[in-house]
Amino acid sequence: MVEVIKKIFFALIVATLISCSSSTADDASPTSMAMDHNDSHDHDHDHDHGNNLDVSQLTDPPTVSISGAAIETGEVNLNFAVKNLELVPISPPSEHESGQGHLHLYVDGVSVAMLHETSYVVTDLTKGLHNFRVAISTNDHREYHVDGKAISDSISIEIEEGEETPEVDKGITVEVKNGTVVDGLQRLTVDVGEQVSITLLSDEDDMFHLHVYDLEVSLTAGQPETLQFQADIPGVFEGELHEAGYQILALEVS
Amino acid sequence: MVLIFNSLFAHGVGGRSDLPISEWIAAWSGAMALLLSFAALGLLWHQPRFPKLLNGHLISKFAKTGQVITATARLVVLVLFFVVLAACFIGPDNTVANIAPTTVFIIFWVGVAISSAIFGPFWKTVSPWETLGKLLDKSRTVVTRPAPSWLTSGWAALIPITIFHWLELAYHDGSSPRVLGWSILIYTVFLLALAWRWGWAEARKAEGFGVLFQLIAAISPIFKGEDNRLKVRLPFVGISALNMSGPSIAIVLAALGGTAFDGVSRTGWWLDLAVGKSGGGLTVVNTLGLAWVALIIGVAYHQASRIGSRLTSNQNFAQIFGGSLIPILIGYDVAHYFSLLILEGQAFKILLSDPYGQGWNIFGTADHAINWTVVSTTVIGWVQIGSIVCGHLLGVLFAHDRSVELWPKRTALRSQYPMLMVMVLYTVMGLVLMTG
Repeated sequence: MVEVIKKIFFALIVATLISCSSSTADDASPTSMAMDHNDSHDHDHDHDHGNNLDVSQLTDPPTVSISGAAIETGEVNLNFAVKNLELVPISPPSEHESGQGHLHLYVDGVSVAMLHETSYVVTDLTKGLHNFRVAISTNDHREYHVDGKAISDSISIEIEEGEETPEVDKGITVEVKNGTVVDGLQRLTVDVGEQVSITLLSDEDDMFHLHVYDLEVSLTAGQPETLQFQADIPGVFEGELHEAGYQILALEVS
Repeated sequence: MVLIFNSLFAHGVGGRSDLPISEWIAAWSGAMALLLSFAALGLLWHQPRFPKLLNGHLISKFAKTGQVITATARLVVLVLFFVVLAACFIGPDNTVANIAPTTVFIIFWVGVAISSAIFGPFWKTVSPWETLGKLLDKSRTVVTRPAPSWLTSGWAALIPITIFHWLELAYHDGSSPRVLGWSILIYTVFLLALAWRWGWAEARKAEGFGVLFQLIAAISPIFKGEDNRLKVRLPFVGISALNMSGPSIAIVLAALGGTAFDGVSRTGWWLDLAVGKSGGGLTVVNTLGLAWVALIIGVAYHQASRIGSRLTSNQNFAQIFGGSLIPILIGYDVAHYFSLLILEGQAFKILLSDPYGQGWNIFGTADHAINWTVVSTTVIGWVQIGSIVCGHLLGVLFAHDRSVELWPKRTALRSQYPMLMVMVLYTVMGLVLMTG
């Protein structure tokens, strides 16, 4: 009898491990680790590329375009024209529904908003040229792609009246190549209150996330993006790539 | 403006580590701990003191009120258990937006451990597995079958503790709500199956978390007397009444090893070693690292006990001094997870208002934000140093008291050399890990 119970006991442990690995079989591939909000099992019919949803097979894939102008000191009014897509609020969260979605807005590569409205005012912009990019996303936060490229549009607007960009106190460039960080994990040590600039360059499309500060930068292969912010929370923070799934930067603020 | 971030966490939950402690402060603290330890060998009392302090005073005479409070607490924890378990499966599949990872890794693992050290054996009263196990017992006739030795010996409790550490620290996707959900579900079914077969009184011995928290509760000033009434005594003296069996020691050592590996995995050296690794590759590297650190911790204690057994001609050396490990474990826990509990732990209050990610705001806290500067990094740093050094000193004091209780002066002195060696090793290791 004891032998039987022992077997059942070990079978349970094995079952734990198997169920753990099978329930996350999709997550185990490094591509699905980003803003993939719902269980990928629900999307068997789509061409699921982790973070993205390729809709090249549609005859009328959705499109988006952006226009805008500076309105007041440090402010820009943006307008979006969306075709073949119904814009749905992101809250409460909903499952992916073909033909529905919302907009992801990036300012200078940094994710700033998720919208279901067709206009938006960006405030607190500094003097100089800024890039505004809009992409369309599924209800579960995967970006729609056509022919391997995100369906998106961007515009550059010069801000003439606005605060000067604060001077950078400390900066670092992090380059990711062939599946690892060039010269190993990068470290940047700064003081609380300093202006920090992080330039990111990857040989693959990815999403950079700086924890706790919760800054996200969408990266296009081979195109450097710079993130500038004031380091006001002390501690050591991980900067990681969502798609690649590993840490590339340790930011120490003391 | 709404932002939703999904995150991978290298250490259960997190993404933030404490600032490294200056090497000078760490070295001075280590030296001080060492000096005080050796002083304790010769200069301290030569008659045991702790056993005399064990009795304590009665706290409350209002047994009725106590029963109402415990029944309520038990119900609240049970409801929370099912809410979180359900959130694992139907809440957002996202470590930060789902309430489960924060609840399991911060509120349960760190929060209950540290509260047990302060408030005593409360977990045994409110644990959802206790509640479910007892309900199962009540629902049928008394079981009289003798339980098998792997269960009665207590070794089964090591399994959940080991798997938990592996999920938290080694498995690359261990903080995924779905993974946690399956783990909790299987563990619960497994415990109830044991309870069905042999009764909860036996099945309880496989509930590793309950066993560990009960051991930690021994250092609390609050305890339950023989008549099951709450009493109070000096903190920490309770370990002299504690019976540390082989499995109990293994469980405490496993928890110590896990916490130590968590420290190792945040050092610059480890980050350089693991850079660029993700998925299965990361799991393999972490598993090896976890096993390696746990082995160092375990072998050190085992060897010290062997030497001690020879020096004192007492075969139970490991069990006699096992209690020393508990203050050291709590010292490690506080040093590594104090900031996690009070910073990232705030997410619990926020997520509790909307446990299924439906846009609810039950307690009006859903739109709160984590205050990352509620304690300064200076305070965190001193708490870290203080807890490691205090844990060490309390371990040494306990070992001293035990040895003078059991042996004449000369043997007592000799018995402490190996214990002191292993405690110094743990303390130096803990301090080195905090320098980054």
